[in-house]
Amino acid sequence: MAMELEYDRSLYGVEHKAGPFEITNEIIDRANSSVGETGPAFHSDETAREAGFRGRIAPPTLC
Amino acid sequence: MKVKFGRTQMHAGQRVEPKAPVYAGDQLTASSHLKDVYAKTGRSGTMVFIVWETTFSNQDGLVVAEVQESFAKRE
Repeated sequence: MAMELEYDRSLYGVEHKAGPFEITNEIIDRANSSVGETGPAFHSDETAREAGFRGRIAPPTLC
Repeated sequence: MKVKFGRTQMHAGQRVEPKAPVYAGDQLTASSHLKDVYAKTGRSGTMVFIVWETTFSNQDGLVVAEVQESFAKRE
């Protein structure tokens, strides 16, 4: 069943940009707390490096 | 995003695909575009879905995440 939807089709192909947003340690702490992330690589640089990262990482759901 | 349909709108899910690690000190930029608009009819009636895609990149231009977010409109 095809339905003719009325909206602004000129929006296709238009990129909306935002940022830059700096990811601070505080933001990572809050993101961890929001999703209940307890993995060590998300909490300290040392344990993150042991896991092969350059430093402490942020949970992707931050995005 | 004005779609002529329905009177209520709700969030209908978000999918995050991590592509690269995000570190403290990174500067992220976001670029969003309209991906799709479509109607779906089920038992509870017809809903119109509006789908946005956002690409997050860091200060080196590396894509760190791809996000797809949907909104649903209904009567």
